[in-house]
Amino acid sequence: MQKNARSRTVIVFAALLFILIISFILNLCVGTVQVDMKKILEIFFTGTSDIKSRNIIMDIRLPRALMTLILGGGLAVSGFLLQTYFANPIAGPYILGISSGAKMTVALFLIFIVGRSGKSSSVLLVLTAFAGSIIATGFIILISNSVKNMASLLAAGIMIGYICSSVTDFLIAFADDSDIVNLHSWSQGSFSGADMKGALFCFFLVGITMVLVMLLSKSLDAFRLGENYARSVGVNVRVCRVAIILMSSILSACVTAYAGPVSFIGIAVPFLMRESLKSSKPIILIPASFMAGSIFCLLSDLLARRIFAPTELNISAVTSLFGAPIVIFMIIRRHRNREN
Amino acid sequence: MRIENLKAGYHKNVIIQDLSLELGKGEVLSLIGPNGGGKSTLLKSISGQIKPLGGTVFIGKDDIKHIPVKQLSKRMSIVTTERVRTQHMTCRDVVMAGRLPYSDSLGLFSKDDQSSAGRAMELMNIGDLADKSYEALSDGQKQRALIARAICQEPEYLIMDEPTSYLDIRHKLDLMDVVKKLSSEGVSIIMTLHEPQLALRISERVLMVRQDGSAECASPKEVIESGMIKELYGLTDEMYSFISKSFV
Repeated sequence: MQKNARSRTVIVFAALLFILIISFILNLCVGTVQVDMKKILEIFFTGTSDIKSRNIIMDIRLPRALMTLILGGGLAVSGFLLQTYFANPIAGPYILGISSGAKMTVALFLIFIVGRSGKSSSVLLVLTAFAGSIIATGFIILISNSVKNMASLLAAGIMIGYICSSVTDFLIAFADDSDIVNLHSWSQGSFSGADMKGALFCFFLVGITMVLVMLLSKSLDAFRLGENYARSVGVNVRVCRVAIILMSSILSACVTAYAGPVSFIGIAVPFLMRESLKSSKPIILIPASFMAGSIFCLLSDLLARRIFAPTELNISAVTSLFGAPIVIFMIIRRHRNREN
Repeated sequence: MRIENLKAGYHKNVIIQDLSLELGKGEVLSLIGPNGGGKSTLLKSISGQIKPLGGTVFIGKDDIKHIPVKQLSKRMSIVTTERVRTQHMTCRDVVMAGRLPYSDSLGLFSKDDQSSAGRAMELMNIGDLADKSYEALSDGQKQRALIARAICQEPEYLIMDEPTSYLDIRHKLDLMDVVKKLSSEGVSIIMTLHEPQLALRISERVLMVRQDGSAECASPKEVIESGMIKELYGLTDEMYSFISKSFV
C-alpha cells in the first residue's frame, strides 16, 4: 500500500509537469498571430529575422505566460495555507473576501496616490495589496474567534468581500475619469498588463515566499490533527499561525496587485490535488498545488483570450466557470461523507 | 515530575485548588471522580494545554513553562478527548504524526520512525488497519490510533484524557496491559478514567477529584478499605456493593 502511494505521487507529479509544459507552450503559440514551436525555439536560442513574431513573444506572450504561471501557483498555495489555518477546505482568498480587501486598498492607492502624483511602482502596489489582504484577514480571524461554525465563517467572509467591493465602487463613482480607466481594466481581473519587469518581480517575491512555505511544511503537517496535537509535537502554534497568515497574504496580494481578484483557484486546486494524490501531506501537496494552480491559470487565461477573440474576457469569468462547480461538488461530497 | 500548589481552571474561575504531588519514573496515576469535577481541566493544566492559574509543574528540575515546546515534545505526549477530523489521512499517517518531533526539518520520516510507528500500531492492535482511511475507522479504532500516536512519540510522560472512551471491554483491558508494559519500561502515565475498577487495578496511586474541587491522593488499597469511592461518586449502599465486587 505504501508503495502504491509512492507511485501515485510520482505519476501525478509527472503528469502535472507534462501538462504544465504543454500549457505554457500553448500560451506562447496561440493567439491572434499564431507562432509555431519552431519559430519560438528560434527566437529563444538562435535569433530570428522575424521581428514581429519576436516582439509578440518576448514583449507580450512570454511575460504574460510567466506571470500567469507564477501567480496562478501562488494563488493555489495561498488557498492551501488558509485552509490549514481555518481547518476548513472551503477557505480561500477570494471567498473569504481577502482578495476584495486587497482590491479596495489598491483602488485607494491608484486613485489617491497614483492619480495625484502620477507615480507608481511594483513594490508599492504589492505593499498596498498586502495591507488590504492583512486587514481583511484580520477581520476574518476576529470573526472566526467567536464563531467556530464553518458556514458562518464563509458567510462572514462573503460579507466582508461585499463591503470591500462596495467601498471600491464608491471610490470609483467619485474618482476622475482618467483614474478609472486605469482602475477598471485592472479590477476586471486580467493578466493582460503583464510585462517582463513585473514578471521578474513576482518571480522573486513568490519564489522566496514559496521557499519559506516549504520550510513551514513540517508545522503545517502537525496542524492536520488540530492545534493541541500540533503543540504537543513541538510546534510553536502562535508563531506558526502568524507565519501562515503572512505568507498567504503575500501570495494573494501579489496576484491581486497584478491581475486583480482571481476566483476559486485557491479552493478548487488544492481540493483537486488532495483527491488525485489521496493525501494531505503538505510537503507533497504544496508543490503539487503550485503546479496545478499554474496549469489552471494558464489554461483559463488562454480561454479568456481566445473564446471571444479579439475581445478578452476577465480571467475570473473562466476560473469561476470551472472552479465553482468543483467547489459545489466538494461541498456535496463532504456533506454526504459526514452523513455516512 | 513534581506538581506544586497547582491551581487549575478557566478564565480566573478556579476549579482545582492547590494540588501538590510527586510522580516517580514509571508510575501510573489515575484521576477519578464524578463528571464535571475538573479531572480534564486538571490534566490539561498539568500537560500545559491550558495555563495553570497558579502553582508550578516541574519536569526534572525544570519548570514546564520554561521548557521549549520542541524539547517538551520529546518528553511528554498527550491523548485528548477532542474529536480529530482528518482529510485523506490513513491510520498510519495519524500514528506517524507522533514521530514529527524526531523527523527532519521538512517533516520527512526515517526508517526508525516507520518502525517505531509500526510497533506502536501492533501494540494497540491496529496493525492491519494501517492503510485504511482514518475517517473510515470506528470510534474505538480511532481512539486506539490516537493512543498509538502518543506512544510512538516515545515520551517520558504519557498524559491521557479518558483513553478508555469508545473502547469495548476487551480493548479496555488490553489498554491496561499496554499501560502496565509502558510503565515497566519507565514511562510515567497520568490519565483520567471513568471506571474506578480499572483505575484501582492498574494504578500505583489514584487521585480522587471531588465535585467541590478538592483532590486527594491515595493508594488503591486505602481507597478500597476506606470505601472512599462511595462518597466520591455519591453512591447508595446498593450501588456501592454492586461495583465493589469488582475491586478485588
